[in-house]
Amino acid sequence: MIGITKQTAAPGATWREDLPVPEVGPGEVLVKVKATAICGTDLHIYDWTPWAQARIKPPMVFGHEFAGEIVEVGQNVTGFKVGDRVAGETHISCGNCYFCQTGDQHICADMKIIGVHVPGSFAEYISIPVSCAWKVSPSVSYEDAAFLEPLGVAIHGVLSGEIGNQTVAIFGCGPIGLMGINVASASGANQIFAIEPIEEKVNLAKEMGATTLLRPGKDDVLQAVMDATNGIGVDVVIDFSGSAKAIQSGLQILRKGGRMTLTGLPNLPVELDLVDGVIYKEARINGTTGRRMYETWLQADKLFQAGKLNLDPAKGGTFALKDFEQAFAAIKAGKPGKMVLIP
Amino acid sequence: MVRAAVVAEPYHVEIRDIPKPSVEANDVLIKVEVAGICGSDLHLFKGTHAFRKPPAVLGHEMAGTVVEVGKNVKKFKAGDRVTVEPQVGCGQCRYCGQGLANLCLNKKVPGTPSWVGTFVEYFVAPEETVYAIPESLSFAEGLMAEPLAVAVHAVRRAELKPGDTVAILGSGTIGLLALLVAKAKGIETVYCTDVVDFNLEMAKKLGAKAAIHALREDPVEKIRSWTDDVGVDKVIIAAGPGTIIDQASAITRRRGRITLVAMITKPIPVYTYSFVFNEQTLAGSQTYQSQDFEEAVRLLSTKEVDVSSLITQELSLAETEQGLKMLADKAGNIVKIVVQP
Ligand SMILES: NC(=O)c1ccc[n+]([C@@H]2O[C@H](COP(=O)([O-])OP(=O)(O)OC[C@H]3O[C@@H](n4cnc5c(N)ncnc54)[C@H](O)[C@@H]3O)[C@@H](O)[C@H]2O)c1
Ligand SMILES: [Zn+2]
Ligand SMILES: [Zn+2]
Ligand SMILES: [Zn+2]
Ligand SMILES: [Zn+2]
Repeated sequence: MIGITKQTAAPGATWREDLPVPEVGPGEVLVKVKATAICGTDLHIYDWTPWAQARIKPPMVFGHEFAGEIVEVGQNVTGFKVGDRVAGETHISCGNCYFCQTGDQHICADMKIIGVHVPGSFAEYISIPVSCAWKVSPSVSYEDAAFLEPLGVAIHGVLSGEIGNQTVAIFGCGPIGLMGINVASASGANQIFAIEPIEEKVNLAKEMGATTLLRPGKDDVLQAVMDATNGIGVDVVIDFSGSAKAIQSGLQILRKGGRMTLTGLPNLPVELDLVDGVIYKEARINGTTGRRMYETWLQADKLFQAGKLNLDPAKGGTFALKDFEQAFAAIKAGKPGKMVLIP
Repeated sequence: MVRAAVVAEPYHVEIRDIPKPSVEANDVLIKVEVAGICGSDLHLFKGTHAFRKPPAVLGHEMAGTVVEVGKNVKKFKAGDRVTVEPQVGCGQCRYCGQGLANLCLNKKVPGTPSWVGTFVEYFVAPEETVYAIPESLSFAEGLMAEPLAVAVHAVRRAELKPGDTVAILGSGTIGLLALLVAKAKGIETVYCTDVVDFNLEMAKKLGAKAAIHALREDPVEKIRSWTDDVGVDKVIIAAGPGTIIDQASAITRRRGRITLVAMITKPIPVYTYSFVFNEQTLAGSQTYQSQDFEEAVRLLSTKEVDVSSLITQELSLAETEQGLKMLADKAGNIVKIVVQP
């Protein structure tokens, strides 16, 4: 089959046409990949950053955001059949640790990740445990279905606290931030401030339901938010940027008693003013990671069925799998939205 | 005129005569029998307090005897033994409307131009802030209602559930009181840390399952080893060194909750990645709501919480500066120092 591998322990990726179709083990389904999207994690692997060096064992197919059709069903699989349309959950949880046993398998202490620890989706076929297959209705296109995994990250962050009729500030208008704005809007947020320094990206937030666009560096974010909220600040801040400046600014614009959710991953410690930012405000800062298995998936289904989501502004471009170099180049050039590969 | 302990300038306390406060219709005039020295007084003393600036009268903790009441006051009369919740919300803002005077946008607290501190002979407080204390409590124990309310609120913010494992970082007044409240709520496993042997011994005596010296041992390693490498369900931070948030995160289990009470007065670096990756929550805890103060007075009155061993020094008003220096230098076995004006 065709596919892209991290072939050697060095930057770049390799196009292959001679890969074996994966074996379908017991409890697994073989999926013909119809669409697969590129994530920040894939950039780490492509660029061979220290993060990737510590985890990836070449040669291996990478990629983990995908949707496709089941073409073969392994032993002991029930509930799935050939022809089912599925989207992939990236996380393979152990089932035995404290967190798996208490209903939080999405934060399993012994997690394996598709495209990181086991072969990924940048290929014609992928074999996955049934626990990673989520059925999608025919009304959802394969491209949208390939967005369900990162959409789930956005949903889990946005819906980790009250959102209806709240004033919300969302930092970062990458694909997940944009989808987060869309989810907040679809869930009845009252006012949505989209905060992102790159003009092209923040402009997309308007189509997602943002009511105010702010560009740090150009706009005075603190002043603008305070003016728009009678000096109170916003009820909810959600960080989808991982930027230290965003987290600091978020704590400033959060109202007393507000909720600040951190989903973006900062790579360095962030200087925090804990007295003004957390204690005097009685702020609640909560981190979210991945998606709940499978509560978040159900939430995504409902939002889709209600016709409330429009993921198009979060789509950066569609490329044939073979043209992956162009897709990676587009991301590096700062093109907004998520790039999709079609095997 | 009445005598008062005033921080005249940073690191200098003067005993001054100030005008005797007038008693308005809803006010209670109280002869202060004891006033407590608290960490925030140290911040005022050093000139680092966020909104209390020298010159200002010290103190917000007190207990005493009612000497006079305004004409509308119903619940109190001369001779009553009382303590005071030292905050008055504006009553108008969205927070006051929710009973959150602690978050009020315009609240009145002692030691500011709108309300004198408690290190005075006579203190005036509106009736709604005054709470009766029984004969069975000493005045010094009665004064502990204030820091105990801080602990009651923090424990409530911590959302402790039966069976939870808890770590309290810092075994000063607030840390030890939080331990007492958690125990009174039936929490069995509480690990405490500190860097002073006396405080660690107190924690052990008051019911900590283990007391860890944070410099001689590694609290992260210890607590993780006692919890099958999962971490504790809840952490309360009652000490302010610059690495304490990261330490708390490393001690807490995934999806666990960390409640911050300690005033970390300078910005510090926090490895927020760990909160994201572990889906942890960091919740700030700011003083108390009236319901917490009431609960603190109740816990003291019923002796469900016994704070008598936490009162470690009693000084005269003239010795206030000395008391502040003792607390700053941790000179001696200190938890709560009280002063008799
Ligand atoms: N949020 C609020 O409403 C509120 C109210 C009152 C007090 N506070 C704050 O709570 C904190 C605790 O108050 P307190 O009166 O108990 O103060 P404290 O100084 O008596 O207690 C702090 C304790 O932490 C210990 N400590 C120092 N370094 C440590 C370390 N590395 N690990 C563990 N322990 C360490 C100290 O030895 C001390 O015993 C202070 O920061 C105070 O400002 C907050
Ligand atoms: Zn991803
Ligand atoms: Zn597990
Ligand atoms: Zn106090
Ligand atoms: Zn108010």
